[in-house]
Amino acid sequence: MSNYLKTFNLNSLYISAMVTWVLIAFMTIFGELNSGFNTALKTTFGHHWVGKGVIAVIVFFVLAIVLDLIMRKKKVEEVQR
Amino acid sequence: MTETIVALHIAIADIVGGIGFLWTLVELFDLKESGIKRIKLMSLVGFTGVILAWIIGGYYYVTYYGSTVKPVILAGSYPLAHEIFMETKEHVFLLIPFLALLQVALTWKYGDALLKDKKARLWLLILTVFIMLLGWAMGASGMIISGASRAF
Repeated sequence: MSNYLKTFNLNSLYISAMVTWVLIAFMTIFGELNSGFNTALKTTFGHHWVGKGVIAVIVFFVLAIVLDLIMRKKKVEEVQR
Repeated sequence: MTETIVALHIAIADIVGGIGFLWTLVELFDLKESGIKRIKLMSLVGFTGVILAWIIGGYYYVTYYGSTVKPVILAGSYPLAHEIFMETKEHVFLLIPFLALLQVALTWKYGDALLKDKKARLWLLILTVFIMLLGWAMGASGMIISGASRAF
């Protein structure tokens, strides 16, 4: 686990942070324009703000891990070539 | 109870989060070998403060603010305190923990390399300044919101 974190690709963190920022901005504006979205978040998570937070955290970590795996795979392929 | 939670939120955000990142920022301006361990620790302290402030502030916002404070502000002399400042604060705050985590990851990953890699240090410094500015904006918004809830 410690070795995995040490070799974690930081580019995946940059990209997932940027995507998460855009996603939060999108959810905020979309929620203001479409009350159904905020209502759905409230029904699911108890409060629209909690819903946006949970979605943002999930997207950030899942995207960071997926991008890291893709970048690792690409690196291995480059070395094998 | 609400005052206690707000006070705790401010104390954690300002003292733990604020000092953690401010310390890192100051060290980054003139980084020495002996400062590497400190910036690693203090960036982690700052990140912990941000997460705790997020949880405590979020609990207050979801549990008390909407039902007790928001109606008072909207009926008072400064409804803009909620309509602009709280609406902005609640969404901008969602962005800070991700930047704080990125800052910690960069600090720990680069570590000693920050002494030689001036470009990496500059970018880390810019990121830390950005976190501080957002944090201060959150603090200032909080003061406006608290003031508006007491002004009639």
